Amino acid sequence: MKTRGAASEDLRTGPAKITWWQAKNLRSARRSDIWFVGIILLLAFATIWSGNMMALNLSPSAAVSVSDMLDDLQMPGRLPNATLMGEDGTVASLWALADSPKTVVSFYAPWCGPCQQELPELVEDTKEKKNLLVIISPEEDPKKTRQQLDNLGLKETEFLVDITGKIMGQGKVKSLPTTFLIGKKGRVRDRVVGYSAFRLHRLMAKAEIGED
Amino acid sequence: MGGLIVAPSCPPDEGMINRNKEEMPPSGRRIIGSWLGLRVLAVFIIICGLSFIIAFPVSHPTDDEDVDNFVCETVRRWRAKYENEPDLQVARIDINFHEEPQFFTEGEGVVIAPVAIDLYEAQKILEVESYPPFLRKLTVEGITNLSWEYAGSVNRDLRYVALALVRRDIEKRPETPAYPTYDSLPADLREDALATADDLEEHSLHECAEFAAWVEKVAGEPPYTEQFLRIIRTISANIVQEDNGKEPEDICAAMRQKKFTVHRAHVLAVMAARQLKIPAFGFASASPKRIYLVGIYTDQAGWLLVDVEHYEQGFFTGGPVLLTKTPIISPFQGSRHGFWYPEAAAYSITPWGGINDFSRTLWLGRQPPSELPDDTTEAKSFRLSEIRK
Repeated sequence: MKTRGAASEDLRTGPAKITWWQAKNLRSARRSDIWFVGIILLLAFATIWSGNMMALNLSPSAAVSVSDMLDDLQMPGRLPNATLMGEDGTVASLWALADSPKTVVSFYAPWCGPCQQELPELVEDTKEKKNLLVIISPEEDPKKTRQQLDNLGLKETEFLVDITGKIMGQGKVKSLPTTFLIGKKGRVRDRVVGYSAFRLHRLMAKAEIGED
Repeated sequence: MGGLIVAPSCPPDEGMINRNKEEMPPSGRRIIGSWLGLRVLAVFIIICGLSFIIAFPVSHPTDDEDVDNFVCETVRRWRAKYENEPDLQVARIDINFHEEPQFFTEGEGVVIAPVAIDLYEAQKILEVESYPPFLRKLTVEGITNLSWEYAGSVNRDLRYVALALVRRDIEKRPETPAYPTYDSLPADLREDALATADDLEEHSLHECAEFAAWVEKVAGEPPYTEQFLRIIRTISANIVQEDNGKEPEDICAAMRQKKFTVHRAHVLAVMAARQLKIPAFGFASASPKRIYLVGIYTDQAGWLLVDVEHYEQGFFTGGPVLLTKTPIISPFQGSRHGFWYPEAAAYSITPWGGINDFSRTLWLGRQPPSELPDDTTEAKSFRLSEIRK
């Protein structure tokens, strides 16, 4: 039994106040709450699971770089029939210029050291029979290129400009010099990336043998 | 004495705490059954789930049953298609990256592995299949390589199985020609098979001053089949240790010391043969019994092979499927060791533009059984007719 003093204490403090948060959280869970939490749990696990599953496959950016890498590793099947412009401004397509079964296509730049070693050898090796096309990127200065070829003693060697950049692009020419041996309709028979006297010799030997 | 009773029987109002103990659940039950309790429980379950997923990530390793089904179906199909050719062989290449091994690296790239070669008058690839299906087939100087995606974004097992159906004779002891020639070898293959250490700068042998003289001295007099056997006997008799991959590949020093690892013996035998203008290649075969092979060509008997580790057995022709031929002329960045070992690896484009392997396997044939690594490439040969129906 409460004493008068205790009762008067209760009266002074009054009933304990609770906050809105307490009221919300201490109420009994209803069936709808259970459904709500269940759905949240399901969504959380679906997100985690799908993320994990996605991580098992290549991401889109990685798939692109993998594809590029495989392209690099694989020699292109053909060089495209893109337009080339001569020193005198005349234009012609690659396939029309490379209409023999054995055409050597050399991608060259006047600033590229190994190209200066390779090109005179190529010109010498292709003097007889084989067709040689020297191609430069559209970004190169034709005047400087001419000057450099003259310096190399290659005054009679003409060069062509890949004005659309398609041949270098589709031919995956990423470093210079890059030299192709192609057949009719741009079919790539061999490729040498960088300068190597032996590999160039091998390319030339390949140009001597086999049918297109 | 009538004490002041403070409304003990007041009906509970809204907003008032119900002090009636019989209607109030105990405090523990109050929390568990409450909305807050549910949320705490949900968070706890999510944390537990996350911890579980991190500890045991969802993975779909290619299990044995999947592989068996793939092999059975492929073999059945091939057997039906080539029923008139009784002596075809199947090379099976198993590539395993385990989730926590020494060579597994997280990242994305492409797995590349050689699976078989085409070799004039010796081996012809008829079909290639893989599980999971390969992304692309890359052929380099007659070596067929398959590529798969390496999505190692999470630690998990990665497994790839490749099958190559090849036309190749069974192993035979040939009669060694007394006057061997190689006029019938196609010109482009002859160019490749005769490329010397100077041409290729192979294993820096072009810088080895005594190499040419050593070859002349060891080889003796023609015919070149005999010269080659003398060379291989001299080299292979001095194989003293397994290649642990830590020593520099100084074949010149190995020649001086007369101590060769199997790999150095393999390289030296091929390059010494070429130094004598004998058309030769190094081969790796899909058999644990025939790992490091050297082949020389003769018009009379075709490719004569010698096992570097079992040189006393002499020449043989045919045999298990050949996986790689070395050295190659054009560099191929999707190959570790320039195909001297048929090991699979995962490659990616480096920030400076080149291609590099970032996760690799070891060829099982290289390793003694006690030191089996976790990440492996294993190759075996079967006759198509021998595989169980």
